[in-house]
Amino acid sequence: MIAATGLRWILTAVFALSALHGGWQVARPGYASARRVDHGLHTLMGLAMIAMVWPWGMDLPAAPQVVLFGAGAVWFARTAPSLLRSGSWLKSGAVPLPHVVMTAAMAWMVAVMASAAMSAGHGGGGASGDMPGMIMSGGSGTASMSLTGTGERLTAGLLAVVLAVVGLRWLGRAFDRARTARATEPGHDGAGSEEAAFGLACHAAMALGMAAMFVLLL
Amino acid sequence: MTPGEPGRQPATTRTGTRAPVAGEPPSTPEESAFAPDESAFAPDRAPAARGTWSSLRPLLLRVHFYAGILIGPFILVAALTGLVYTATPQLESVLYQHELTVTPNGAPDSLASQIAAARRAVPDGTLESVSPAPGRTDSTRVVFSTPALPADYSRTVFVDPYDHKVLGTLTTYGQWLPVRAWLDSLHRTLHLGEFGRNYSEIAASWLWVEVLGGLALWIGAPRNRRRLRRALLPGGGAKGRRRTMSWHGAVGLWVSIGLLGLSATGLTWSAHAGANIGAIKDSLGGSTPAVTTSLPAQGGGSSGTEAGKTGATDKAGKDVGYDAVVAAAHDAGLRGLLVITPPADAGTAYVVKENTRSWPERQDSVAVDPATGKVTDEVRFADFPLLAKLTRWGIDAHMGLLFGLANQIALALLAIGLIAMILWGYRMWWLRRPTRSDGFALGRPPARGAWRRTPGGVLAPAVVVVAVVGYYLPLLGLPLLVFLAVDLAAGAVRRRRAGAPA
Repeated sequence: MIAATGLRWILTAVFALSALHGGWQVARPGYASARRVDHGLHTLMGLAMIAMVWPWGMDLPAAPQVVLFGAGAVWFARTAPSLLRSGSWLKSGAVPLPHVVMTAAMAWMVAVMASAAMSAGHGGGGASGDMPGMIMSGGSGTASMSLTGTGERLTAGLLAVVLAVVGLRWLGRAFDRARTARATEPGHDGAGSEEAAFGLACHAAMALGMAAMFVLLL
Repeated sequence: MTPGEPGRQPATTRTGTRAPVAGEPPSTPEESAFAPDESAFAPDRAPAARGTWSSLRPLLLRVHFYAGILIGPFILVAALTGLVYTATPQLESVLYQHELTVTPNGAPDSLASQIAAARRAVPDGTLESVSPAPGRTDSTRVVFSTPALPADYSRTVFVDPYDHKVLGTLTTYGQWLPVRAWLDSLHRTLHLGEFGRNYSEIAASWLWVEVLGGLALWIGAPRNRRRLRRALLPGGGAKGRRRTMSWHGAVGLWVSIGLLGLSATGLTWSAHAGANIGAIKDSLGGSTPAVTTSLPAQGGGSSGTEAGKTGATDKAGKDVGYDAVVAAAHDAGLRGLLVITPPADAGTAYVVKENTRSWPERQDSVAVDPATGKVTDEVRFADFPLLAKLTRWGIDAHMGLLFGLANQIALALLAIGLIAMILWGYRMWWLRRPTRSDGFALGRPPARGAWRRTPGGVLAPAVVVVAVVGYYLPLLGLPLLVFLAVDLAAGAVRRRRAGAPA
């Protein structure tokens, strides 16, 4: 949960971008079912992250979210063996590892916040009670809670770094696709590349937004 | 291309440089990435393979240009008002000589009698602080708050310490006399209140961007020979726009450190960024320490607030007075200009603070028990965290207080340099205008689409860094966001028009 109003809205906009893009892709005709599931998961992740930013998000049941995003991580990991065998693990634009990490990180974030809330008997979104393992006021003044356990802090820090790297890589690729859109598609208006760039940018927004959330939990 | 000139000229400029004609086929494969309107007058046509800097330079040039054009007026006003502000000490000494200076005449009267005289001059005032005359020819200042005054303003009574005669009463802003308070408000808010603070925050938020961007452009400008001389010294035989740019760049190089300092210290005062900087400073343990005014426990056994209350209750009504408090502060080693704040209530102590804001700064403070006249707490400037010391020095240097006249002259030169650089910048823009077209025309801006030359691996971290900085400096981030939105919309409209059938 984010205490600073401005940051709360900024992160909401960032996650909403990802959720809207995912929803739009789900609704598009002509996609295979598996791809729709991919984008559906992105939409749900975006929505769940928006909820996590706001106080009312603390009232949402955690268990279904943990199960959903845990299953999402398994779903994204399903293509890993075939990609490994084909040798296109890192080259493919659809490399699943970042998505696996993001969905797993999502499940972990929900779980760690929910377990702390449960220990404290926290039942409402007002965040008025103290949670064991968390400081409810937040050290930075921007987050309203921060982790206190060493292991949890280390995990959150590691996930922040990994997601920041993933997000930067996606964002870099998005810029590269966008900046060469018209150059690489003579005779075309570059809409395909620009759309692909936008998709990558949405992934980047999700990853960087999550990295920011993990930083705020430290 | 002239050494030091960071951009191609438009087709027919005042300087007469020839440039591509609209519709002309691109000369390099890279140009095909740009629409004709965007490739024309591209600031740098070097292939992207030349390196990160050559790919970043056009983008930086565009940011520098637009920030200069759009934010320049804010910085110009801040520089002009700042220039006037540098003369404040001389203005004060002329305008308020009667209140500020006295003729020594034996031993000074007691502070108590001076304060009593001051109270008679402001009968409806509540005593806020007392500053005994720091020198033999200085007056004593007794500061009162009154209900009629706006927040942060006070009535200051100036008393002759030798005959406790009231020399005058002025409305002051903190410790600042009316003329400094007026100029200070002009520089910070243009006398527009809280809303006006946004102008100076915009200026402070963007000044460092312009300075660092300009430095990178100037130092990284292609020069074939006499690189150092051309970078450091203006002129060099150039004429027209090149000469103006030579002055803009060389003077900018010399004043850059000072301007960065002014920008950083100005930001610490600002409303939005200042709050963020304060929070970061506090989280880094750099907050300015203050003495504890709660009185210590009497007889032991209790602690904290309760102890303070107990101690005060035991000694309620006893007060050694200002003269004894000053004596205690002197015994504790406090010297120079002192500001004595009376106890806020029965459970608290007097606070005596040194307020010498010239080098070497004296900022020690002590708390004095009103019942016993003993020092109960002390904070030494030497023990301040480094960040707190840097903040103090930075603020006082920005205000021209730290090094006296030399400081004032340096600030005035910085302000003049900044004003000149802004005007040279606008002149360069003017000289870039097409002169063969009919009617009024503005100078052409650097080409759109400069970001397309920058690899994603460079652009992505840069964007994230800018986003983080823009969050903490909102009046950097928000105008940038607005500019990007307008620029994207303008680009989309231009593309649509270009793609529309004739």
